[in-house]
Amino acid sequence: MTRYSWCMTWQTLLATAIAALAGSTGIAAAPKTVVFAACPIYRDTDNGRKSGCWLGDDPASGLRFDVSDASARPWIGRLMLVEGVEAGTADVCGGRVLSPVRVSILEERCPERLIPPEGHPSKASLLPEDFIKPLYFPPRKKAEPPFAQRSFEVLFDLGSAFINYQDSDTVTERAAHYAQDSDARAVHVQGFADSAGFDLQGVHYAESARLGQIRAEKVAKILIGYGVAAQRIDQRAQPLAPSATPLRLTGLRRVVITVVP
Amino acid sequence: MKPVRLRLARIVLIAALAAAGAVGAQTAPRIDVKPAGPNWWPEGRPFDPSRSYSFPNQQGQLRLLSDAALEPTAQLFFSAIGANGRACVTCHQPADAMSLSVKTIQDRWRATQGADPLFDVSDGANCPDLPRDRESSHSLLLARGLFRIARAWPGVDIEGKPYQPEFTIEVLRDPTGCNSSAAYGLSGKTPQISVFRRPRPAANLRFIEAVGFPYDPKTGMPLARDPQSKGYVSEALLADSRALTLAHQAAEALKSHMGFMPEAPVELLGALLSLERSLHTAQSHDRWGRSLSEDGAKGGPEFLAQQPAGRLQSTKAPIWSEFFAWKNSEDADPEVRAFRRSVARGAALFAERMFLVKDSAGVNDTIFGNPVRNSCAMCHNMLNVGIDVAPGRVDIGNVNPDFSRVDPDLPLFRIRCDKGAQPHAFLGRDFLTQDPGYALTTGKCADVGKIVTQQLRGLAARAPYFANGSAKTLRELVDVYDRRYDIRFSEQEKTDLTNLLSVL
Repeated sequence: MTRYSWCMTWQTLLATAIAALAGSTGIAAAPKTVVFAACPIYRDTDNGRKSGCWLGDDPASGLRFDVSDASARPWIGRLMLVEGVEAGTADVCGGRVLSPVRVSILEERCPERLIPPEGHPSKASLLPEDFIKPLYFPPRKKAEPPFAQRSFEVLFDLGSAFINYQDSDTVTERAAHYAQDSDARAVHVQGFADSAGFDLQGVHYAESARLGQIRAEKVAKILIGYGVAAQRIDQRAQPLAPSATPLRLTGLRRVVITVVP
Repeated sequence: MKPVRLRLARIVLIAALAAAGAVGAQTAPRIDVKPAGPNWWPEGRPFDPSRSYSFPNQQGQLRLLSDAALEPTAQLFFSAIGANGRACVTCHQPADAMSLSVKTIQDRWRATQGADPLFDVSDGANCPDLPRDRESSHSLLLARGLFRIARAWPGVDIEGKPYQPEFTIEVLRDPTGCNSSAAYGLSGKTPQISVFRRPRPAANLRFIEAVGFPYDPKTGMPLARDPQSKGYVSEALLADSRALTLAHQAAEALKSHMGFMPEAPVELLGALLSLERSLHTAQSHDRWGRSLSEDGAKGGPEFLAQQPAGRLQSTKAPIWSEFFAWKNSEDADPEVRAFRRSVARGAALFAERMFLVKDSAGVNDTIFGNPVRNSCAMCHNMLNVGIDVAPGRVDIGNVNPDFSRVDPDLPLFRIRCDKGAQPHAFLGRDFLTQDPGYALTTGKCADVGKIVTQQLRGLAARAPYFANGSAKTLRELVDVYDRRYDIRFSEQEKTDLTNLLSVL
């Protein structure tokens, strides 16, 4: 325990010194991606609904990160896998802000950690710019020709085929609207899973190759639910593909919807 | 529809209309329900949609009105068209906000000693094989207002498709005897599970059917669609989301609660639905606060009937703003003034008083995280009625031990989830429940114990509360949430919330 605390202090100091050096020399440090598994910490800040802070300590660096921007929030008492990019924005929760950031809930149990605000203000929960509009809003403006082939990328948490609210849900809706507006001849739905996996903190994390197919089926079902004709949709599974997002590992867990007008 | 069935439907309609004396009901003399008189609406009493009806209750007065010119066939809602002598109105009483209070049930028992069709053993007894004339046979109905809901196991999903269940059900305790019964139990020839639930109000259904968003954030899927209209459905009609549409619900109710023919004719369903969709009900007067639509407040069914349905509350448009004007009530009567100010505080608390929602499947196992800071309005978020726009299928902790105490009056089941299934987020793969709830419609282990939120209108007229009738009073209801989420409401906050709920 003592050694861990020493490491954390040493590494925190080093990271702070590097950050200070970069700032003083005017060198813009490249955004740093971090990946770690940790027990989540809920800081009970109150800045209105959904305003609590979610934190996690990276065991490698000893740094505490703020993962509150994740589309799916952690569960205290359950290990979380974090992949995020250091945003360099103001610390309002007591951790370095990761954004974009993806959190996956893992099966392993953890001690529940709920801590007081300790003066941290958190931030109010704001509606993202892109969200699924209620049906009572004025009708959306339909896309107009010419229509070109377009692809839409739906990202997933590790081991999951769930479409996250105010995140992947808007992507599937956009794809469905584009398929309908363009009267698409074909809609290809390709599902990917990270079947090769990766090692982290002495644990190998990998997904079943079949999860790619399950994700594709789920997305196809959603497109049909939105009114895309089932006979125009085809599904394919791919075991692995290069990542196209800033979050490399998250990008391996995706569905690509290709709308062919 | 085949010609034979059409003829049958017409015969049924005509016979029922004649029995109800409903033809020409528009011109029938008005029947005033006296405030001091009995509130019971007997089968066959015609309903006049051109007027409103007021009914006294312990808290004040409830009002019911219809906002549509109805065809005479709509009277069939009030006609004893069931093979067991019941009408829809038997269990959806106007004085009880189109639900049925336990007080009304007890009054009917005392008046009829079980002869009333309400006590039909098919669902009005703890099990159909019990003697009808014994009070003990109806203990759950008489003590808690609970009707038996029998669901085939395994069952079908909301679209009527059979599912492959992810869990097994073992009966651990069976105080009603029905789940162990050879004829009605889980081991019978046609296995079924009996759970016991309160009837939901058959009014303000315009709101309950309303679809706010095409997508459900809790399931991560678009809502189901009505195969007839092709439109989205709210999935919020019943406690376990088993009814896709109101027509589906009515057809099932005719069959399971009224012993009606195997398939209800569309004309009959249309008549019932037109009546149900036209009804708005709400508390209109309070014994302390007097009229709920004066001094700037907008209580009562008249305002409700004019509001658009399916709107999500927000900080800009908070729920229960109907009563915000009472915040500074200056009524000359100090008791009236105090009560109105308390209601206004309760209305504000409902959306503003934050607490940690924790370990509730349906909320915390979705993207919101566990815990999540929010208010009552997180789930009770539809303006004017307080049902969840989403829809909300949540285990608030009153059917699954250890979050709830084991209720000795209700059956207790052991759930064992398959190895490959997604486990219940907070209870794992081997746990207990007193009502699997939504899982009876999905077959999913993760859904065990989730119950669809319900509207909060007319509460004062329809105690007890929660789907299993476990809160006898509105104050108890507030206390349940206070304990469950360790909210630590002050006494004043509890009083204010209770007062708010009593005037809805």
